[in-house]
Amino acid sequence: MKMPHFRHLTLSLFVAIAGGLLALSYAGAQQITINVLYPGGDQPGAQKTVQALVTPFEKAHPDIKVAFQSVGWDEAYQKITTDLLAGNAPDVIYIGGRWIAPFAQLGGLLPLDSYVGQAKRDSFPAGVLKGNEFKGKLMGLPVAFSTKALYYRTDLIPEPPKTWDALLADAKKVTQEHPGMYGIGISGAAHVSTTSQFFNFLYQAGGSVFDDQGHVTLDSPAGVEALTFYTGLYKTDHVAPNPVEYNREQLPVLFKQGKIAMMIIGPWGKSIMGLDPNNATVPYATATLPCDVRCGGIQVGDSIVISKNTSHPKEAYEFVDYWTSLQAHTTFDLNGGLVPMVQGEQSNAAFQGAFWEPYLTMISKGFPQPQPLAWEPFQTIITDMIQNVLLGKQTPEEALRAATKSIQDKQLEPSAAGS
Amino acid sequence: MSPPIGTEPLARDRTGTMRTRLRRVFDPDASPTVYLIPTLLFLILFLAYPIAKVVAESLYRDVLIRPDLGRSFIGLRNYLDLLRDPAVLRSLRITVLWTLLSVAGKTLVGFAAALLLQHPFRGRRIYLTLLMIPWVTPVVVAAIAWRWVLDGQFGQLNGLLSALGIIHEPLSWLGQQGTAFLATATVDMWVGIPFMAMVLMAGLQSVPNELYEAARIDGAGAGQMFRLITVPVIRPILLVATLLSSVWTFNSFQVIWPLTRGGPAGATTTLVVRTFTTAFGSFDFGRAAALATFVFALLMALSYGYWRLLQQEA
Repeated sequence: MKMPHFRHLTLSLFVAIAGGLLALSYAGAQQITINVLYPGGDQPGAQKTVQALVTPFEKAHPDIKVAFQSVGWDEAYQKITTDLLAGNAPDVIYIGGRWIAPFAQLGGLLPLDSYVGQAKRDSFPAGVLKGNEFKGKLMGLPVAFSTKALYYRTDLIPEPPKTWDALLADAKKVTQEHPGMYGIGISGAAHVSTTSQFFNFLYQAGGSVFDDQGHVTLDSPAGVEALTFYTGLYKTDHVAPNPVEYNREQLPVLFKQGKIAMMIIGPWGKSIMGLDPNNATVPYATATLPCDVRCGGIQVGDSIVISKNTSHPKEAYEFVDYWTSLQAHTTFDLNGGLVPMVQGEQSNAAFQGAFWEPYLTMISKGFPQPQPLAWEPFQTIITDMIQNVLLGKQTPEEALRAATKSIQDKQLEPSAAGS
Repeated sequence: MSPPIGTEPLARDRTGTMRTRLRRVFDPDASPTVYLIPTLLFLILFLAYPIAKVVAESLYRDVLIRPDLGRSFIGLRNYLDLLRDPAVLRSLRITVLWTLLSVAGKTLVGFAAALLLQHPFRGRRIYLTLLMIPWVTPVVVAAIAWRWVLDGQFGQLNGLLSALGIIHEPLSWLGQQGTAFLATATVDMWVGIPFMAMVLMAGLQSVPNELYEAARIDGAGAGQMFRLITVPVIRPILLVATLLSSVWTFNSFQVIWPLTRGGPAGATTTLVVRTFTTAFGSFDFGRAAALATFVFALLMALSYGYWRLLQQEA
């Protein structure tokens, strides 16, 4: 009699375990995992940013799990391009805004027009949102945004320069009066920041890279004036250390060490230095950029996009929508030292004060980053152009002419899309 | 019961012949081919096939990030474009000069180190250990460390030269074309000297002592012995070492990229750096494949020339 009873017990136990496992697997299947690629996310500061996003989102969406992946910014372009070509890109990707056009051209991005309502569109500055469009379709949402300001040593320069002439005069004065220190640091290394730095001056001189029809307009009197002034800070005026060695993100180190008295950089310059403006060793302040025929500066943004081969577009967009909501984005900007972008952020107390004021002022004076069809070869052409003049290999006129021809020959103009 | 007459002995002969044939097939001396098949398969799969794919790709116009341009067969057009491109020709010149400079430096310094270290002396082991440090350090790590040594504002090199009174203004080693070229070649030499020294030390050990003794008896000086005994005897080893070093240096990427990314203004953009930026910057795979095939052909020609020289030596 024991045997049948034992068999009955064993069978019941088996059914119970199997049923439990089935229930568990079913519950797990209901939870969707969204993979998010966030370049630079392995840096110590970025971990805090990621947690501040993921924890509240997962709490509000228990059926969605967010898994962040990271890659260095230097390798991000190659990795994302390769993943998109292979069709196994993460669901959500954080990219440089300059990559919207090439990735869209590749057919790797999901258009967001059907997901993004008018209210959401209106929450972004119009110019910034436009930079996320490709052939009239919205391919991403802006997620990080920066304007640039002039950092200057308040103990050496009593009033910030308002014009190019004043900038040069102040730089010369500092260089002459303080041996071992240069008046200003600029970027000339083969790096994306070199293009941004130069485009500030190009815009202020009244120039542009592409016109509204997408044709290159670099070779112009304004282009010559801007390139001559920019490279002249090192070549002829000798008020900047050799910029070929440095990109913009290395300038705060020079500033902190007392090697330069001025630099142009986003709000993260303060984070890199780790110094508040009123510090004892290198007291500084920020100011709007000096003007030439125009006042203004480049507005560079990063974007979040959804991969076209995602299996969960709805859930992916829910995370993208959350990331760009007022509360989440304010926290993101504060953690990352970025300029407040979403409507309503600027009124946050954390963005008030003398340090932030020039950055907020520059929002209305900004111009978007150019959108060539492929950024990397375009960046190489521009940085080579600047370096050729810095090194005396070409005059500004020759360099601009050669760069224009290269952009045309390599079919990088926006007007060449689909031709 | 015994088998029918005539059958069993015939079957035995057939089996014996088959066994002999099989033995011959698997005999490494008689037919080594069977044992080479796995290696051949490996070489075909992981060497010949990828090379053939790259050569085939070089005949196409294929820009991966421009699907609107399509992928089309263009024959040798990529090669013609390369040969007409001043930037590619400049990269070829830079590569040849950079390789010559670095290999010459490695050979001279490596030879000198080998001569100094070939005989036992007090502290020889310490010097040998120090010599191996560049060899065991990952190349990228070494390049990044050198990047900071050579920095124009903060670099230790400028600090040292300034302290010695040799310079009064900091030099931008990586910010000028000429100095960037020399600096990257010097770092590459630093990485490659240990290999040269070790190979040449082994070569020097193979020179028979009797030759030196006989030369001394004949009144030969150190210089004469070096010129007339040492160099001729180790010449084949020297040729092999410089061939290997030339091929590796020609293909060097991990020294240049962390230091200068091929700059400033293309001053250190060798053919390999240009191939990388064409493939993974512009994603122009057709053109990059043509560049890679061009480098491959150049190095094959170089290796063939060396082989002919070695044959003559033999």
